[in-house]
Amino acid sequence: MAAYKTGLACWLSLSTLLWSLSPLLFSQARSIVMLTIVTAALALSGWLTATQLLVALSGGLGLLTLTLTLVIAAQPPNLWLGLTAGIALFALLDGSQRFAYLRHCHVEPGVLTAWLGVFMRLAGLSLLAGLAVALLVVSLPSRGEIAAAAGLLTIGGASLFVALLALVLLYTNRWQARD
Amino acid sequence: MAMQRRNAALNHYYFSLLLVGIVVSVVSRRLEPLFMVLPLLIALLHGHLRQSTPQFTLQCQLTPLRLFEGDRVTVMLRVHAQTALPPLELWHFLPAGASCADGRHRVLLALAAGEHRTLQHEVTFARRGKYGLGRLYARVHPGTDLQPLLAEYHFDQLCSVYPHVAPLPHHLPPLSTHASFGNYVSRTAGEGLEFASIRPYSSGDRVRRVHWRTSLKRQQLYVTDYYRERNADIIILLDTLVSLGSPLANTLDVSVRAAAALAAHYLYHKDRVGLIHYGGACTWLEPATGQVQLYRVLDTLLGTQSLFSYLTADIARIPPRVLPPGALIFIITTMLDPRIDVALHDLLARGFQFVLLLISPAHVMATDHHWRASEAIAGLWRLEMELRLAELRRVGVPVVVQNSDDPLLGLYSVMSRGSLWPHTRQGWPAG
Repeated sequence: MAAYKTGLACWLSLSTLLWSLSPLLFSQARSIVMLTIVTAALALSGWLTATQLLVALSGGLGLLTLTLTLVIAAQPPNLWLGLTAGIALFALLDGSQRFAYLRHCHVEPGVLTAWLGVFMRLAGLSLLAGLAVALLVVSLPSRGEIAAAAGLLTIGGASLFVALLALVLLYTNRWQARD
Repeated sequence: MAMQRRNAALNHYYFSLLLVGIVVSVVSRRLEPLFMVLPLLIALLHGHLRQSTPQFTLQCQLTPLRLFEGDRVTVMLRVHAQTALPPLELWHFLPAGASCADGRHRVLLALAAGEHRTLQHEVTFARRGKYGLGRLYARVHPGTDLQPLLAEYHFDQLCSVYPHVAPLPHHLPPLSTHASFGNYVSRTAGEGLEFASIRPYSSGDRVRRVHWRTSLKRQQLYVTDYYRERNADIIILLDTLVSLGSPLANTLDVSVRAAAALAAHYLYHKDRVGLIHYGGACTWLEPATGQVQLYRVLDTLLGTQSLFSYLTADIARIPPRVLPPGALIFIITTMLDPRIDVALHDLLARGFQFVLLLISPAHVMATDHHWRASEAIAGLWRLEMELRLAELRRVGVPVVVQNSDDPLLGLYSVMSRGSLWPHTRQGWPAG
């Protein structure tokens, strides 16, 4: 039990470090350092006190910080960085949720393996999806005629996507409530 | 049992972060924020579109269902997975006052299809009472844990937790006994089991009593004599007028434990034991002997509680079969309510022999934090009680004041002083 707890705590610490320290790779400005520290503190206090809201806030702040850093440093597009940070964020959010159970429950053998299996599967799916999006993005500039419409398409597509996702979530919720 | 799917709060956080990522990506004209929230999108879609309900059966067994304070109930949970079972959280809900002494009552496990798992934990109870056990909550965490499946199982069984029965180190024989089967022997010969003597046969003696060995040796019939057996009536009068202290440590619980110890002791010595609850209204249990009576007494003590009332119970209304003449009465009281004085005066006036067991609230409620204050309060309480008890002591009523955790500790020294009870019928008008 203690070994499980220690293992998961190490995994969460690593995710927190990866998630919060990534902006420092591109800029060490004082404001960025401060934001990084706040992000890390929020994440750490969130999973230590089993307050998911704090971890989610850390996620939001980290996202803003990393984007800000990339904009300030005028870095060329780095899709791998985004994907790596995304997987670290997912590991942090998912792991903090799992860690909350270790406080109250006795964990039988086989549970951590099941959790790890789910995480690996989703991380793999994310990589595949990221790769597909990256291929799409790389092929877009070669078609100059539609490049101007790409911005508009992005905004429209994003709005449509959010609306569709909200609909899917609502539909599946009703579906389960009926069951 | 049908399982219900519920959305976890994590859904909202994932969705909010997804929106933030898209907005930031659009505003900053960079793709990285979109890629950052891509795993969250995959997790949301995976959690909501891939929904399977695992099948499993659950059994719960509790042993024993009758126990004493401090004893343990073993709870055995058997899980059989018919399909592959993702992490399943099983929570055996414990009522207030119960605690898990060994093992864990909240377990997380994952099983393969067809696999069995037996889980065990032990529950202990600090206080007497009836406790409902066997309510189980199950929560299955499929995949990303965004929509856990919940179910509630009722294997409800009632556990009776009797007050702790501490054995008394010495026997405290009552002064008056009556002819019945019991552990005390009479000085006169008669029916019984205890050997008295061998005497020559006289007309009317039963043949089965002939002592053949002596008869053959003396060439004359001899018979064996036995002492008559006797037992006593013991009545425990429990003052339930007032209870002081917290739910876990109060004077009523100490009184109840003392009553249980006395009842078990005298029933073991084959005496008849009865119980009277002296509250606003009197309730009682008729004296009887045997193991069944012990459980009757314990069952009655189980529900003992202090109920506020303006009524004063009248001892005269208790029928003689409940309060038989010559019975030894143990009065367990805090004497905080003056109505108990009425009962004491009544009993004295009617010539009953009784022992007063005084439960000290100052001792029961003593705290380590303010030990000086506790000592001062205990001293004041003792002075006040000494003043009130002086009259009773003057007429020879044995009084035991609680000085330690065990309120019966001073009982033996008080009761072994010889003839304690003078005839007090004169000069004591009934209250």
